[in-house]
Amino acid sequence: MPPAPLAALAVGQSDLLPYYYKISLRSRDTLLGNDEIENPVHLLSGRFDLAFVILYLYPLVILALSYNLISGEKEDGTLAITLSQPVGLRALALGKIGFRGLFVLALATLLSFAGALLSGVNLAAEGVLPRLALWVAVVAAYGAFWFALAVLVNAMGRGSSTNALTLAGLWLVFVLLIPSLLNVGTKAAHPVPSRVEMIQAMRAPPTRSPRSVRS
Amino acid sequence: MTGALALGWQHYAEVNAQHEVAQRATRQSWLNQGEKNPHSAAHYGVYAFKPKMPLSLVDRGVDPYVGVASWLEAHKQNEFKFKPAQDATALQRLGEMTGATVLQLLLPLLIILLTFSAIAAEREQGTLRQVLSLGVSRSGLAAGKALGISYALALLLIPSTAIGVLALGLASEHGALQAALPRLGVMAIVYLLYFATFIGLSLAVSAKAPSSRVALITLLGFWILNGLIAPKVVADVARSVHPSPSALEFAKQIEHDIENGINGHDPSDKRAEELKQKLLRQYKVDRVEKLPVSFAGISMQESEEYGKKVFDKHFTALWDTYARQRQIHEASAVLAPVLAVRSLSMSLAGTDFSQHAHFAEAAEAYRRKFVREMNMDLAHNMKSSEYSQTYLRGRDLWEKVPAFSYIAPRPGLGDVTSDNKPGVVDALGAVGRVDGLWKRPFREGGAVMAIGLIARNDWRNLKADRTLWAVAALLALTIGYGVYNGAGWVRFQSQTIERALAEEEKRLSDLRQGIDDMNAGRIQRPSWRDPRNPFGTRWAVVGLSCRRRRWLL
Repeated sequence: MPPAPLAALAVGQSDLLPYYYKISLRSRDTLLGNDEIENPVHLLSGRFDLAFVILYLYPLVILALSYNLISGEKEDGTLAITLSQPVGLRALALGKIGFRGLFVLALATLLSFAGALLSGVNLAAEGVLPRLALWVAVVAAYGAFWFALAVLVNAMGRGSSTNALTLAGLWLVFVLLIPSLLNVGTKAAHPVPSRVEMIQAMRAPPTRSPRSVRS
Repeated sequence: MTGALALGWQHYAEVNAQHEVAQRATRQSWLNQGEKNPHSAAHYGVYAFKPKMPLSLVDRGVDPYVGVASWLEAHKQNEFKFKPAQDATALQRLGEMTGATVLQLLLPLLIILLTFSAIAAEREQGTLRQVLSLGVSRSGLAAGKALGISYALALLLIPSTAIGVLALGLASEHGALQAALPRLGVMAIVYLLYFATFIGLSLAVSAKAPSSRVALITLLGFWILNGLIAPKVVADVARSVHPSPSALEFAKQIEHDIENGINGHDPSDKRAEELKQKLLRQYKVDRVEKLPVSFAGISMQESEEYGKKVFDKHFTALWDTYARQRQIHEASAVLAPVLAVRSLSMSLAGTDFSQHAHFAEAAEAYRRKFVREMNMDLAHNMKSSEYSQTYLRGRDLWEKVPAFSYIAPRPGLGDVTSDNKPGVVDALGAVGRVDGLWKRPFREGGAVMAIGLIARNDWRNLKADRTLWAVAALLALTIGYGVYNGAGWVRFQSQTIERALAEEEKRLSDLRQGIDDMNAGRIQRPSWRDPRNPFGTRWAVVGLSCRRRRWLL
């Protein structure tokens, strides 16, 4: 199976699943597939691809920029000065978050665009532009989620260090804990039929013994 | 932690029961396969199912990423198939909640959160000076802090360790617990050392950082580098320094070596001819049909022997590559202690690659034994003039082959430590360095404090734009690296597909040539090497829909 046009952005499970099959009259060759050779420790670590950057590091960057959005101003004493001007708290927060958001999003989308182009993605090919647009939309939405979370935590009115700890904890929950618990949960709720049983079913002796064939 | 262990225990018990049943069933299929030519029986073969090691309930290691079963059949050393991770959703790659995850990733985070303010906050509040003025030595203070944190950790860890040992006792029948205890003990020491490294490091950063906030950010940065980034980057480095062949390349080389001889001057046709002449001389007859033994059986065993050499050569080379990659992982542990700990923990749990290789070797040895049994029966009992379709054997012969049984290496310690010396040394070295690191800032404590006060204000003013630049640089670097990496993998896939197609073209044209030659009578080949035989194979690239249906649903 040739790699999809944007495969360079996210390796996903493609390093685990076979992408070509040997077709032959011997059904087992076809069915059993042929896995790519790879050190299993590397499979365990996973690949450092753009999807990894967006999933794990990009939220951290966002949180590092906005954990002290309001609390920092409060601690520096600039909040009172700013609010004495005809600016509402809402407008201040929006303005600050807007600037940061635009900065990070522009950076992330531009860089992934540039990366995609450099890695030889053919923009003219059918379906590539809509897919790239979707990718950007997903990256933007994901970023917006983390910014919103930062604003929410800031709105609680605690100090900067409390905010930082809270946000780091939330990052841990959303990025590490929930996915791995979901992984366990899905496996428990809908276990895949056992491969071991499949092997046995495949090998159940046929009712009539086939004529022996030498090969 | 307790949850993770409980899940690990459930998984272990389930899989082990399944595999035991399967191993018995495959034996039954073998015995009840009916009347057959022994060579057909060797093709029918048996399956070897990998047993789970008891300590895998703590650390699953590479188990999800190596196959669970291997088909043992005539002529071929098959790879292990059915990696459990292939049947999981994409969530699999975001991590599994196992004991090892908790111990390697989450507990260090807890340590950081407990420790980052230990000294920095005292300094900020001015209590550090008071404490020191009471005559408490700096190293004494640090040791006390470390003890306090260790005590808090012990409160958390001791109950869950006790539960772990209990679970292990429940999970293992017939004395596997006693056998696993020494390993469990060493594992505990390894993890304690790992935690000690983190406590030392956190205290050092806390003492040196201008403020507790900087300490926290530095430590969190290290934690992310250690647990999330380093394993992936080191895997990339290892892969590019010691590349492993693509599956296509690997299979092609084995085929090539069997066909043309390991040294390239010994093609299989010539080997068969030599064997024939040798047998004719030995039994002093002039035609194969007059031999008192079956030429088919002997020549098949001979090619099996040759195959052994070829498989040994290639699999040894592949496993050596993995071993060299592992050395890179362990050397990098100086920078990211999790690499040393992961490697040690997997070895101790019996879930690392060398354990897998041990099982694969046992399965291969069994394959060679039973295929030999089949071939020897052909050689001695089938008449040379007889057709293979008419020479049939039954259960009595199948029973001559003992059932496959595998004994995991004794869970002693010798093999593990000798395997992992660099890892242990690195881990210890890391602890030592950190130890030195956290003592130094204390000697210069006063100066650091003054500088810290000045730097703090300065840093605050500059922070806004500096963070921006840092963020931009970080994002650019990681995104660039990520895309580069993804593109490398895609290129590899495309190239492999191209090669497979080219290979297929060549095979087809060779086949056509062969058929023409056979028809014109230019060459003579036995029926099983006749290109007109329909049991040929061909490569193809399949569409997504087909693959989805078969593998994803």
